[in-house]
Amino acid sequence: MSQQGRISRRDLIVGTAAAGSALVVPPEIARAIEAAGGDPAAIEVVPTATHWGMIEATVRRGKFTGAKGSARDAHPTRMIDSFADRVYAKSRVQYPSVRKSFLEQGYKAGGEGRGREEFVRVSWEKAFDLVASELKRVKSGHGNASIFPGTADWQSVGSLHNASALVRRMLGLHGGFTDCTGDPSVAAAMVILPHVLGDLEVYSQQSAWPTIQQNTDLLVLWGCDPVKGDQIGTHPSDHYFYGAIEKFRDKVRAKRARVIAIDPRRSSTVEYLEAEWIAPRPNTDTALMLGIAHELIATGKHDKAFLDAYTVGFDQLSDYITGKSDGVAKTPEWASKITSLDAATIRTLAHDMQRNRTMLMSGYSIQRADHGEQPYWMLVALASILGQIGLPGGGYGISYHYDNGGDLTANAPGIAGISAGNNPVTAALPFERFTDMLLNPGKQVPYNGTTFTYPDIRLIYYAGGSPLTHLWQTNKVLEAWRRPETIIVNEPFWTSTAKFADVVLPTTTTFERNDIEVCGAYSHQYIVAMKRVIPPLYEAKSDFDILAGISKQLGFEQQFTEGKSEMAWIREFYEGAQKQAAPMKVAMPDFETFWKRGYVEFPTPADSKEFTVHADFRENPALHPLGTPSGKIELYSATIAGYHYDDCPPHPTWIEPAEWLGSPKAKQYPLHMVSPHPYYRLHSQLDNTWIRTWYEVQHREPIWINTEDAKKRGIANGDVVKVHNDRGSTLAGAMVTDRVRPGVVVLHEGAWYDPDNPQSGTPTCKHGLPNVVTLDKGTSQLAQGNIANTTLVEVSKHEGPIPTVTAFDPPRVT
Amino acid sequence: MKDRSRPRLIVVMGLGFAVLLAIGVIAQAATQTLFARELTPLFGDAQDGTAIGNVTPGTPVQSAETSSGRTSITMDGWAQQGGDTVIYTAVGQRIVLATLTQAGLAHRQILDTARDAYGNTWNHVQVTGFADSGEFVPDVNVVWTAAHQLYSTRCSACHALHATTDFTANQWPGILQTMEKNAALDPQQSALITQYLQTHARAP
Repeated sequence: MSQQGRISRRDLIVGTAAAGSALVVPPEIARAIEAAGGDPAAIEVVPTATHWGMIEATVRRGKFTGAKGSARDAHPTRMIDSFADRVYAKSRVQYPSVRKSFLEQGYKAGGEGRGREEFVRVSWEKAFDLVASELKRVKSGHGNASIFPGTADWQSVGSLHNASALVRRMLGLHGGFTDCTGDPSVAAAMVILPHVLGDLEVYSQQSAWPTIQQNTDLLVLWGCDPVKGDQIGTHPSDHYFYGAIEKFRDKVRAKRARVIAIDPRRSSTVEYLEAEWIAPRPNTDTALMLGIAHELIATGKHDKAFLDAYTVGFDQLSDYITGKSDGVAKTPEWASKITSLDAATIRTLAHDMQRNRTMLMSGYSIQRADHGEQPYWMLVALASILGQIGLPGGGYGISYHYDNGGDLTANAPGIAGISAGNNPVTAALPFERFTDMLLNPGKQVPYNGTTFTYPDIRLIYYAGGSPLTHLWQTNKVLEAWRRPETIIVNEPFWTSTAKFADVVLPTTTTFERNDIEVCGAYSHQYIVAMKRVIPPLYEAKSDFDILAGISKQLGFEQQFTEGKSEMAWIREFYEGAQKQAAPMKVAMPDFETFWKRGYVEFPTPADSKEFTVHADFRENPALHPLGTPSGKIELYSATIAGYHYDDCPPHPTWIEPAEWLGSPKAKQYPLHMVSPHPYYRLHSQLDNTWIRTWYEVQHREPIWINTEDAKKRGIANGDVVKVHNDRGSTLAGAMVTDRVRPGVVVLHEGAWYDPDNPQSGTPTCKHGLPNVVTLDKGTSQLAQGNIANTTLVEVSKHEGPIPTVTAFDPPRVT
Repeated sequence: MKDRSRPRLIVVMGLGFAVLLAIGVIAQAATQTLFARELTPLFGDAQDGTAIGNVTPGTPVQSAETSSGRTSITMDGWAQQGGDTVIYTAVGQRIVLATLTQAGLAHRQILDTARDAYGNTWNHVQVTGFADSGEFVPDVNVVWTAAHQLYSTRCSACHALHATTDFTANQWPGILQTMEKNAALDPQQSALITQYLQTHARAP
């Protein structure tokens, strides 16, 4: 099988690296070293940090040749083998470049030529002048609200070189911009959970892993894959999880704990923990939880004391579950029809959860679906019915797969990064409505009890992200993307977003600049020096220098830079942390010592190991109330009732998604596609490196398809297939596997978009971007979150010649 | 400005005045509404002593100047029974005016009780104590201007700055607590921003 072939090849590569022989050197890098006249003795090791953790970069005769995990990281990810290749990638943007007709005619060129015209190389002076004059023109002609910087994306770690903050800082000084709120990972959760629990919860520290190790009898992984997700972090990942899960696996193997995974696929964590696997139809999680709740209520096993003391609204929810309020009892048999699981399985699940100290650990995926508010609300309701919230090892957790939640919190100061400052334009919209906003200026849209009006966006300035990859329903996005008069992008790489822009400004990668960062998003265990590994390549500049250059043209360079250099900012951030640390009685060396050593480590107090979420609330709900109107967990929300949204009722409710395996549309498109985060990328980051050879099938993103479904369609492992529905189509490489249940396909998000014919209104992606087939619709009027996991498709074998993938080729630049 | 900047009708008499007299401090007859500039220790008497609690930034107090550098202050608020040490602005509206130690409970007077829509019982309380005079200003906008400046500087580094009306007064403290480390906020700064956001939050 080619799948096995890929894995063994990967293992071979990693084995070589681990053996400590010469670093794995892809051909491109080998050539670079050779070009430098490679003297193997001339080696320098430079510490820095990335989303993937603290690393040591190797430089040979001025070339960055490879990286390995820091000595302080016991579990570095293999992905760091891609870093050197990424820096020298063919897809680097080398010079400031302007779309040809835009250079000739300015904004009057119109947006039709985006993505197909060639680019023209210009000087930085010309580029600064062009961008500054466009910003002035749009401001005076249409007002600041017509300028849009998109969302704060993953970009790179670093407290200074924070591309999205720096763009906002410049635009704020220019008079402001339309901002957007929300986070596509957790858009539904961020709105529903404050109503239910009084807090976002998705970014909160989780109960510490030692409490799970000691107390949890039953771990339920509800669409949760921390083995994959904790490789990366918003801050450099400290990979704490990997030590913790190794211990927990010992407990599972010794039969002192069980793990049940509820997931349409056998995730990396399911494989690692050898978990029991229950695979309902996608998007039916709420129905499954309701069936479990019904069984507990019907058998009198619900925790009445907990529900009385710590929740409000159980009566209304119970009336719905038993059918008293709508005539439909949400029995295990009812849930069985929706989920396709046996009623007996659902009953057993209910009693197993109730009999044991049970931790319900959910990922974010179940809320990136139509009515995605409901599964999260019902998860909290189910945990309330079980009554273990606030007990060690019990309750629910929704951020274990992200940023190493459950890590131990150190006694450490923070780093205040560069500020985006004030934005005089106060209007903001949920990011998820981006496409709809461009297509419908002036439209009024309901959102969380309010109504906002779409502005008329004339200029987009995007830095540190690729919206053409992560926005939903790509063909609709392309139509919208033609609308703005001017699109400016800061990018190190020719992403699809850069290729579809008017002005592309080449930025440095993180290895070409100095910075500082906190390592461990929840632990805050280190402050790390991010030292420049090599000088900027080509004509690349840092986002800070680019935006300072534009600020100079606009007359506010001094306000933008505050007269400080890169190193002056870094020193100021460090000294700010020192000031904060002093009253905490935490020792920090002076800046020079820190910078030389590369890191400072903070102590972890013993009680970090005992942290249990909501233990204080459980101890005294009157003294430690939740931030809800009642101060308790709201199983019925009077606030949401007051909004009168038919798509978000006032208690957790099963509502059929726009499309799913139980809907009529499944006759035409019988496969439910889910698009989780990839294993060997950070969203789309690293796809333009050699590590894509670890996972690609015939140079395309692999799509997992069940053996039975593949057989029906005459698809063999390794075939190129077409994934399609009425919204579009993409090619992908078939990976025939029983790691996904029948009726479901998995196409991980983040493959670089590669339209076969950008002129066409509905190009086929040659490479495997799932968003070509996803649906651009809000979860409900409450959160307006994306519903990427609500997608039906058909998959068929690709016929005819297989087109060459060009996603990583730069456009023609003259 | 919302409720908190509005002077409350509080008559400083009775217990508070008696305490002043008892410890022999000359109190001015006239009182004025002042606002705590930052998280300010509350004392049980006009002399040095252990704090009996903290007054939060922006909290309006009825103040009478004393000669000792401390001002006598009185606050009016609500505390949920069972969580008596936390004094909020109103029933179900969890904007903290002050927190008390157990000893501090002796310095509050229960004026009234009420039940909210969720069955929680609340005490209407008046708290009387002393604080350093320099910690209070007559114009609350001085406090909120500083708070907004700090909020926009620190909280815009990682994400789009939220409008204060994106969340309710009850929701903001938990959110701030989650974020304070990322924004490198010390306890004083965190308290200032929390009170600012709560006071300017969306209506529940």
